[in-house]
Amino acid sequence: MPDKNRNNKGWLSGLRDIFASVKLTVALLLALAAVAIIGTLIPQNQPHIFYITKYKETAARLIFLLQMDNMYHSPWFRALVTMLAANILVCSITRLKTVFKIVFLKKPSFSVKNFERNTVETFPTEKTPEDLQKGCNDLLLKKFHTTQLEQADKGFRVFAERGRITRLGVYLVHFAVLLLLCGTLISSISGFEGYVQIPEGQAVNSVQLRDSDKTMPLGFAIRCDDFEVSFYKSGRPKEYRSTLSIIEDGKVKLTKDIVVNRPLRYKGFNIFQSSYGTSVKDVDMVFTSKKSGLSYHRKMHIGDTIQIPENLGSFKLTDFVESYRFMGQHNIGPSLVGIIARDKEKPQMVVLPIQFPSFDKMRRGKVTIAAEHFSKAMYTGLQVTKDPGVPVVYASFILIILGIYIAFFTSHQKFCVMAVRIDGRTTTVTVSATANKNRPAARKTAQQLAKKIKRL
Amino acid sequence: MLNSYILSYTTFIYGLAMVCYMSGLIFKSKIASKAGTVITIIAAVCNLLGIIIRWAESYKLGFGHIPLSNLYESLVFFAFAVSVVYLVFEARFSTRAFGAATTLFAFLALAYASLKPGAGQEIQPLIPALKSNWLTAHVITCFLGYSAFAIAFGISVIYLLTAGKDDRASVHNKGIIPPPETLDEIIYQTVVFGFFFLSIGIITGAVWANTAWGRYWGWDPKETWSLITWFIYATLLHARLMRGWQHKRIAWFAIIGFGAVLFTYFGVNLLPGLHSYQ
Repeated sequence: MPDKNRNNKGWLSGLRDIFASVKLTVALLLALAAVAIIGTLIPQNQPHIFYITKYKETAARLIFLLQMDNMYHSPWFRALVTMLAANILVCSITRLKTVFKIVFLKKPSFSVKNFERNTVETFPTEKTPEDLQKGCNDLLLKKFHTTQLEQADKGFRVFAERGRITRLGVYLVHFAVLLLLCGTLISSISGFEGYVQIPEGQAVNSVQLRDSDKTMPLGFAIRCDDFEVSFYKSGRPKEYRSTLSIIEDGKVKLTKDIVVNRPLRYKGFNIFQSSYGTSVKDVDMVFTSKKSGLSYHRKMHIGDTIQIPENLGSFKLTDFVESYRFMGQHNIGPSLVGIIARDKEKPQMVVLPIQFPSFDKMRRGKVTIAAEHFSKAMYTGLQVTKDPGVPVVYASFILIILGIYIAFFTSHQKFCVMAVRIDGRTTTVTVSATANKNRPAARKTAQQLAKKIKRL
Repeated sequence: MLNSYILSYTTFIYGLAMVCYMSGLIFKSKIASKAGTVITIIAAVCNLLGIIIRWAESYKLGFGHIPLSNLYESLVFFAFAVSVVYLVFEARFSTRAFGAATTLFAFLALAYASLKPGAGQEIQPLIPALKSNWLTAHVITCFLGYSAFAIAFGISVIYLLTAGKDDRASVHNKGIIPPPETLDEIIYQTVVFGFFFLSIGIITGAVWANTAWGRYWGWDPKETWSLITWFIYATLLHARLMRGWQHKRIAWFAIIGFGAVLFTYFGVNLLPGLHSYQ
């Protein structure tokens, strides 16, 4: 009993009914569109301070509360996508049951009634139905592989069909969209996107993860052998080219030039040309002790730490800045930044503008540091990614295109050729066609059939 | 350069075609409408010639590439695509009722391309990001989609202007404008055509992004807006096929959808992003 059933299942069937409705699909698609619009109007992934200064206080609070600063990764955006996926799944399964019955029928069923209003052509002929029967059947058999012949009053009917499987096209699209969502899920769970800058001649074995402070070890090293940027006469950039070597277990495994649009792929990692710039190659540092007045010269790279003689502590050269703003205001030009540390004392940041060698005297420390001479080098900025979701996503892309094509440009067409003797001398031949969509295409085929039958 | 001259003249040929189609509608003259078709074909041929010559001229300059790389070139291709897609649908439905709207689009696109400063009328070499075979596939499919949506928009406007009128006295009976059912069918079919190509356009764009930047989707404003457009037309198709929406509601939907197309094309250039034609 349907009523009893409903009571038994209760909320579960109610839930299924909700997710099986196309109204929900329409609502979800429009909601996703609306949310996406908001995401393009509010700049995404900016630091908190950006929103506080740009918007009014209440608006900024609302933005943080609803995570509109990272809209496309917010829980409620994901909830909408999940609901859409559930909607597609439930809708498709519910309807597939009926469609399977039609598509995987052993013997197709034809009913004359369906063709009554779909006559494409009717013409008289002197031939008898008996004369025509074999010819018509063979003609349809040749084109459609199977036919169904039926004797009628004073004549015959032949039915044929094609494209029954195309009824599944729309489900292929839906399945492909679900597959796409699975692919993106794989991407977001096990994929990563990182960035690294490598000065010419140097190598790195880990990258900085995007949108986080973490670094990711690669299991091999990337060395930048060379970086070159070329320009057109007009000054537009022509090409950014990095020569990269992959070093694993102390051996160079491969060397390749990469440019934008032609990345290097190694062990599931993709290495893309992303940016470039200049950095410091090596610096001649001078450490002058206040106590003894002696100067010590040392050659350093960015990232190096050395012990200053006379037990004056350690110095780490951390950064090179193209134009440094001292106290956040005065531009003191290209500068090196380092950290000096001595036991028990608080580590101190030291700024060393190249143009002002005695700048560090202002600090009044036990040691004065100056950068005497330095050489610049180009660095290449590389985007490093690993994304196991890509093959799944690409497969879904192919299926989506194929599915949309089948769903909209092909159809399940049925044809009927009927020949009836109306008097002793003439037979009327009727060719009819129906289709689940795109009727004109089916009618065109029927016209061609009629032409051929006339010639029999 | 030669291509610019040809393309400027093509603008006026489209304008002339539009005048013919318009007179056909206003004076209910079939001859004028037929002249419109002939002139549109001539304009489309000139348009294609302009594109080919521009392509050849870029090789003469020493940095040859298919002319699909900036706002000017994309507008020129849009004018060509919209007229070709239109001519196909004109032949398919044997009606010239929406010729005026379509040639107006082609005319506006070319006029805007020539007149807008900084659209990129002079041939420029490709910047590194655009040096990819995916450029051709991505731009052509996207613009075939946009063209079909533009035509659907044009028909929807005509539909909404004529559908409410008294049938006996209206233009429908004279065979100038097809009956509302046919217009409805043409809107549906152009939207389906556009949806198919927009889907391929988004997908080729995603594959290209993955080869250039290592991510197939990054919520760049243009990407997002193309997805919004896709959502709107997907809604239209579901509403029509599953809920039986027709006529005025579908026409309004096609108009809103085209608004999203326009924003994807032009509006996004106001926002910073990878597609801003700079």
